[in-house]
Amino acid sequence: MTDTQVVDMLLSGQQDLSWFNSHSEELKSKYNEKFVAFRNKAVIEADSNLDSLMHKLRKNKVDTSSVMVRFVSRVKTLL
Amino acid sequence: MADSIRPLQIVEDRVVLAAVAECRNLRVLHHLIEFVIDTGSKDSFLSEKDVVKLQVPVMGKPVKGQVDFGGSRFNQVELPEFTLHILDEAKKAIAVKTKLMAVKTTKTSEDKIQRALALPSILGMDFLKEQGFKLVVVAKEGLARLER
Repeated sequence: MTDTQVVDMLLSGQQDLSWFNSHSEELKSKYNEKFVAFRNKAVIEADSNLDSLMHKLRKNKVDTSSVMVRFVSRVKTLL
Repeated sequence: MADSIRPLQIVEDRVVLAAVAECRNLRVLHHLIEFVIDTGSKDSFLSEKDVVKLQVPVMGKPVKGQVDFGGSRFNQVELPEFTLHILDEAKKAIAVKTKLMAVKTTKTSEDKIQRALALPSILGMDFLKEQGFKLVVVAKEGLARLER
């Protein structure tokens, strides 16, 4: 992978995280208690089970290396 | 003047770093993941969610102690060194090498396993110290950056 491709991937990831942050309430309403895969400012797939989600992505030939995956919940998690 | 690295974002009130992770020994070539920068954590971890996403083989690997994290107990598995590609102020990629421990929940119930999978990967104080980074956060303005 070239440096330019790495930069593009990082910029895209940053934009997707910003998108997630600004749509988090909407996403919580729609995908509460689910793992959500998103890219290019859109949800690609969601599932309450992470293994199932990854399986669906791979089955649909989605390149998982450029996808963000987050667990969406109305309940806050303390680290 | 300090080098400023601004890949940091504040996402749901946490300081988050987007990185492209690479570890050839684990056949992780270039994989986009996010880390929470957590100064409350001494060590850095690859979450169980990212272990699954990156398809890191941890089954049967020796356990190097346990850690409590996010209200759950995890076994730690030592991983080879990772390279993290991150963006600098000029939007150029820089590579930093870091040690990460994979975490694997000790829980057996499906519900608790799913809870454990929800936790994020963490870059802790060890990362900031080893890389010589200063973490600057202006929470009120939603700004965060690394400097060195």
